[in-house]
Amino acid sequence: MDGDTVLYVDNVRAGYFVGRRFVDAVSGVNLKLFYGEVFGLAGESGCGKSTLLRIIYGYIEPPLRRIGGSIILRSKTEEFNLHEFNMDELKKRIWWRYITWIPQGAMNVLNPTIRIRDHFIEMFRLYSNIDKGEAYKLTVEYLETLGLSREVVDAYPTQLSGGMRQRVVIALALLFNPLLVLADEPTSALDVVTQKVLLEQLLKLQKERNFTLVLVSHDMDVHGVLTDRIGIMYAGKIVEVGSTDKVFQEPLHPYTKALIEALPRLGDKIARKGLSGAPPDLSNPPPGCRFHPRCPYAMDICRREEPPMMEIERSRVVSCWLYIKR
Amino acid sequence: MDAPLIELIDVSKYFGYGIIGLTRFPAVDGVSLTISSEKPEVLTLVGESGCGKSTLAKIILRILRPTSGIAKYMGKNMWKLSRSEVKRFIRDVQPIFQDPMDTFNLFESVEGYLINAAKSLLKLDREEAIEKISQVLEFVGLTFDKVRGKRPQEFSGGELQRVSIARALLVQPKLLIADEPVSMLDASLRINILNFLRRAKEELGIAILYITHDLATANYIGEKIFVMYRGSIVEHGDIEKVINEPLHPYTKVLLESLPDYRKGKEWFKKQLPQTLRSVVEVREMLLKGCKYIYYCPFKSQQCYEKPIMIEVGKEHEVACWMYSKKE
Amino acid sequence: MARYLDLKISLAIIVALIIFSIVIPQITPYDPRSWNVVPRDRPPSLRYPFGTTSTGQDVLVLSAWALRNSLILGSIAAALLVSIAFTIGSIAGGTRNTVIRGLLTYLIDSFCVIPFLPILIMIGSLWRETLGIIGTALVIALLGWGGQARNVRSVIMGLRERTFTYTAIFSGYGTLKLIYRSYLPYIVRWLSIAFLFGIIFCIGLETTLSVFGITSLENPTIGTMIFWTREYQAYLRGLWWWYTFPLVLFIAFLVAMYIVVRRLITIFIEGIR
Repeated sequence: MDGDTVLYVDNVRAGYFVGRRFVDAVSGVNLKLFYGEVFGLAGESGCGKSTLLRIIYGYIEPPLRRIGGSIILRSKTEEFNLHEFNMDELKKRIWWRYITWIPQGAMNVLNPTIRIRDHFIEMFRLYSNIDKGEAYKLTVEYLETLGLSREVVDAYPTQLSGGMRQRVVIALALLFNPLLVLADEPTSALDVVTQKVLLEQLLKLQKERNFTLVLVSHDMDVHGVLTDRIGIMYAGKIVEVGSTDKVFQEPLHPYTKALIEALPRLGDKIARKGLSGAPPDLSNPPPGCRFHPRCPYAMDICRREEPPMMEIERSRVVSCWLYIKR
Repeated sequence: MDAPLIELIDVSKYFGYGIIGLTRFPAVDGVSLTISSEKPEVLTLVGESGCGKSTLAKIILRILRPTSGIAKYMGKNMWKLSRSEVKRFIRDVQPIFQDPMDTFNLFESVEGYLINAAKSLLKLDREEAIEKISQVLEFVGLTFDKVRGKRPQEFSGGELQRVSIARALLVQPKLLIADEPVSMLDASLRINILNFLRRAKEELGIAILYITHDLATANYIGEKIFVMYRGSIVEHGDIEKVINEPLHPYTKVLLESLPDYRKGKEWFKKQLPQTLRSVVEVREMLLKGCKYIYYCPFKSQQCYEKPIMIEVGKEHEVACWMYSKKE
Repeated sequence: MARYLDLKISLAIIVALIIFSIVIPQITPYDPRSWNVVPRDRPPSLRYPFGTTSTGQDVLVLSAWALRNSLILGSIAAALLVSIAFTIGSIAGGTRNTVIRGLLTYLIDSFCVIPFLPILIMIGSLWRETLGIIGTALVIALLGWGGQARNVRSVIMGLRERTFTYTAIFSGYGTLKLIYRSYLPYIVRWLSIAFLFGIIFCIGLETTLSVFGITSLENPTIGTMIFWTREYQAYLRGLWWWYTFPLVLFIAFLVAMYIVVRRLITIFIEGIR
């Protein structure tokens, strides 16, 4: 275990029990996250990226269940086997303090009947023993350092725009200076102009406080501009991980290649090709490599055996038979 | 010269809200737009959600009636057509909607729509209908067998959207109104649908009005662009011109806000010339003058008056007082 | 499937009660409205499993007749109510004529706010003798259709703005075909739920009136049975069997119906997803 790693995700398996079927949403995921990095989890609908985030955080309710693997969190001084904690313990010791989770649509979770400042005051008083006056002072100070004006502090959530509400949510997430921030599609519901402002703010805060940011997004361009490293998921599996620059310049996995090639760019109109078919039904996934039905390079072994994760160079892994010498 | 296929002259659509719906706001505010019946073009209508583009689509499709202004089809008021002219309209102008699962009724078989269109709009008998349907399904990479007897739930999103396109192409329309046809699809599938639209124009000579919030996809298939903001068209023209030399402050900001993986972290360097407001005011939509006034760094007194469309280059017009010719 | 266990149990209860309300009246040798056919005030025994009343009637026989009459009345009233509500509501929701739509909406809203219980009490008291089961059903239906009509109106208005309606129009569907192919499945589902819910509503309403003695009291319904237990102070006199058995049957029926309606709603919604 190297000193740089903040989170180890080791062979984590999880899924949804629907009736008599099991939807294999996160299938043997291995991941290492480093201190102070911005890591992107990319993939399309049904790939499991949101579920993986939820599993890492630990907010697991039926029909979702984690069925295997370990999740280890390392602060500078301690180590936590998160997979051994139940939700009460997580709530008491880990959530908000070490890890925060900003789920999809979080900006709609703000309580519309209380003012913004009261959200923060409540949080302060939940986690420490200070009185209301003290909490109020801390709140105002904190929000000022984050660039949120007095107007916002005193407003009700419904008076604020979507972008501003999301900024409040991020401020809440960073309140106790967590080690790891898990953000699920933080800008999907926002218009493009607000998105840029929000991403700028987020990156600035990340640089200042040096937390590890895991960003889940279906928008490859957001990954391209924000993240240091990126992990591509398909049908519950991680297919490729590497530094963002390298992965975009030289995608290794056929799915990554197809994904990037299918992105139309401003400034050129060259004809592009997309993928055919659709992601597999995870309650009955195909044998071997889950991508083989749609892969233009599928070989015989791809249909039979699942490819292992290969380290191509330092911190660059890919799970594809094309890269395994036999 | 033939009358244009679709012509909107200063069209506005007001919706009411508040108690008894007495307060009104314009979802579409004074839009003028022409789609010619001669040369088929791919026109794109680009704007953020809430800008009124879907309302405008419904007006062009003769689903919503304008509150003021005139919507014309082949030179006649759309809402004063005879029954046979309405039938012609339905054949000439066909929609493709955003959500393929809502485009079809979950209790009906998908082929029912195709067969009905062939029988009642093309006046074919069942055999000819199936033949035509097979042809058009082939165009989108499907076969009649794949579609026969199935309900919408039995298709994936991408497949169903292809069926939706086939349905629209079946009656050989002159114009396709595609309202966010790829927004609900995965990125890797979008390009396939866009390619079909491109081919529809190039191989079948069908004009397309492609409505989206995504400039990149608009650029991929578009030739002309209309930029919409809060109910009004702020800039329009040849798509390459507008993208390379944006004139309206909103267009400029829009282009700069688009993340592009090719830029990497460099994307953050450029600062936006925009003042941001944190608290939302509904009054934005009720403004009589330029709707962008709250955000515009270049605003002046004149902007309280509604800007008119000013021609700046060939095929490039902008609704902004900065470009008015001072004599 | 254990998933629909509550639905199955409820349906079983309803069927059992319906059979009970059909069989017993068939084999009763006497007119249920006559008094003093059996010894009075007997507690439950082998001969009289539910005991007897102070009016000399067999509680078991009476309960079956009461259930039968309540069911008949409730069903007729519900059928009438839903028919009126659907007719008016669907025209209000479907018409393109703004004048008709406005007028009908006004009519529907007016009936929604009519305080039908006081009016029913008034009508009941005035015409108690002539009203009978059919009459009561009619009056309930004529006064209570407002809420369902409002519901139908919004369902139809919603359907007209669904994307598939536009697709149908652009695929050459005429209005009749649109209604028959696209809307009918929704309408049929709506009607079945409205009817079942209507039964609950109408039986409840009739029972409320009867308990206060407003309806024709010789015809045994659950409500009138309760009325007579109060008249003869059955509770104070310890004749618990007279009110307990009918109440248990009555509540079982209503709760089972309610569960069926709720379950059907979720099944329908799932089917639509």
